[in-house]
Amino acid sequence: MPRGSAFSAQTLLVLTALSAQPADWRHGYDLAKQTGLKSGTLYPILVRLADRGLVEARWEDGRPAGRPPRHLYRLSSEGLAQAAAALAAVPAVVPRVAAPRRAAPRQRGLAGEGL
Amino acid sequence: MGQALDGMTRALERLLGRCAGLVPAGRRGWVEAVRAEAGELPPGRARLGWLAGGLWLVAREAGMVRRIGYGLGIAAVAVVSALAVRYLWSGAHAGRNDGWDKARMLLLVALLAGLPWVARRRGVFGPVGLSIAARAVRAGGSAALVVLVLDFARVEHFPVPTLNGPWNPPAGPWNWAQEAAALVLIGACLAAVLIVTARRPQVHPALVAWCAVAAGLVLFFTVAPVQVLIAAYAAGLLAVTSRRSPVTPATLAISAGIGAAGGLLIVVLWDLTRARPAPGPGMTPKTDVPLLFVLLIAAIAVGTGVAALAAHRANGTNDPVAVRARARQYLAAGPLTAASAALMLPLFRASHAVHFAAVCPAAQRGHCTAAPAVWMIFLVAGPLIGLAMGTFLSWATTAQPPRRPPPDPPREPIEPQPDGSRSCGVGVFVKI
Repeated sequence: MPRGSAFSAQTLLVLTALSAQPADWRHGYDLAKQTGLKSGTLYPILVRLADRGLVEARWEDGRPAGRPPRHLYRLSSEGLAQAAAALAAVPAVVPRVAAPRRAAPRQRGLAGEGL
Repeated sequence: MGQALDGMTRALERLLGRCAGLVPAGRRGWVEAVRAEAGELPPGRARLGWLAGGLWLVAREAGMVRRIGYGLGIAAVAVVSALAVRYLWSGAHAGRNDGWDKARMLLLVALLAGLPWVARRRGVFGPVGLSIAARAVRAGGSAALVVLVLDFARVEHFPVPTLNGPWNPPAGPWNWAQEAAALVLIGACLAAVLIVTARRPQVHPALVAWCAVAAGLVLFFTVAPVQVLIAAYAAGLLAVTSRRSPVTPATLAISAGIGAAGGLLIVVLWDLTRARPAPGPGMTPKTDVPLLFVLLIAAIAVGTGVAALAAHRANGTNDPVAVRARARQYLAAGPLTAASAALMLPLFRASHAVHFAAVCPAAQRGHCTAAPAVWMIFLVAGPLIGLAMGTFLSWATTAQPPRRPPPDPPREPIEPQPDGSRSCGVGVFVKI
C-alpha cells in the first residue's frame, strides 16, 4: 500500500466499490463479490467505517419473500469526500475492483486508525 | 461429503446466532447482517466460509482474541506456579539454601502473576503497542520468561555449585524483613527509571539505561539474582513493547528475530559441545564458553547493525529529532538482540541440563551442572554487551555534527544593468 494513505488496501477496495454508485444502497454479499473480500475481512471494515461516520447502514424495508431482510450500506457525504481524496491518491486500486475475485490483496497494510 | 458440509453449515449458523449475544448490543446487527447474507451464497464451502467470517467478526467485536490471550497468559502462570511448587516441594531438592529457594520461587511466581496487571496500567508501562511486532514480542517474551522461571525451578533439584554459591546469600532462617526490603529495592529501582525518563526526557537514554543497569547489578549481586534478573527482563520487555515506547516495530522485529535465530544457533553448538561427558580433543569447557560468547557477540552485532540500517533507511534525515530517534533505535537494538539470544539457552536446554546433571558421574559433577551458571552469565552479560554496542552507535550518531549542504560557490558581483535587469551569472535574467 502506498505510504501516506489513511486506509488499508482492503478498505480502499471497499471505498472504491461503494463510491462507484454512491446513491445506491449495497448489501454485504454484493460488496464481497465486487471486492473479492471474505466476510471476516469485509464486515470489520464496514463496522469501522460506520463507526467513523463514513458509511451509513440500515435494514432493508419490508419483509422480502423467501429471504431475510438485508443490511444495506452506502457512503455518507463525509465518506464520499474522504473516499474521493483517498482514491485520488491511490488510483491503482480501481482496476482491481473492475476485475472482481481475482485480485484479493494479501498485503496487511494497516494504517491510520487501524483501517 | 455434501451432507457433512450441510451439517457443518447448519451448526455454524446456529453457533453464530448464539454467539451474537457475546458482542455489545450496538454491534449485534452486524452479526445478524452476516447471517442474513449467508442465504445468498451457494450451499457448501462458500457459505461455510462466509459464516466462519461471521464468527471472526464476533471474536473481534467481543474482544475475544484479547480475552483469550489474557486467559492463556493467566493459565500459563498458574501452570508454571503449580509445576514450580511441585518441583521444589517434591523432596528431591538438594540445594544448600532449601528454604530460601522455595520462598524466592514463590515470590517470583507472585511477581509474574502481577505482571499482566502492571502491564495494563496506563500510568506505569502503558498498554501494548498497536503494531503486530510489539504484540508478538510482548507475548513471546512473556511466555519465555514464564518458562524461564520453570527452568530455574527445575535446576534447583540439583546442587548447582555456582547458583548456590557466591550469588546466593548465606543460608539461614527465613527473614521476612530482609526479603521485603529486597523487593522494595527492586521496585524502587524500576520506579526510579520510569520517573527519570518521564520527568527528564532530555536526558540521554544511554545514561538512563546505564544507571539502571548499575543499580540492577548491585541488587543482582547483593539481594536476589534470579528475582532481579527476571524482574529486569520483564520490565524491559514491557517498556520496549508499550504504546509509548520510542522503539519502532521494525527495530523490535529485527532485533528479536535475529537474536532468537542467533540464540538457536548457539543452542545447537552448545548441545554439540556439552554432549561429551569429559573434555576431549577439540573444544573443551575452557574454550567452548568463550567461543559461544563470540557467537553471541556476533549475533548482537548483526542484530544491532541490521536494526540500525533499517532505522537509517526509514528516517535518514539529519535534523536533530530524526538523529535522536535513530540513536534510540540503536540503543534498543543491542540489548534486545542479546536478550532474545540469551533466552534461547535456558528455554531449549533446561531438560537437557537436568537430564545431564542426573546421569553425570560424580567425578564430573562440576562440569555437568555448570549449564545454569552459563545461562546466568549469558542472560546478564549478553544485554550488557548489546547495551555497550548500542551506546557506542548511539553516541556516535548524536555526537556527529549534522551534515550541512555544501556552500554555494561564490557569486560574482552583480553589475547593475542599464536596462533595469541584472545578470545572475548563469544566463538567467531576473527583472528587478
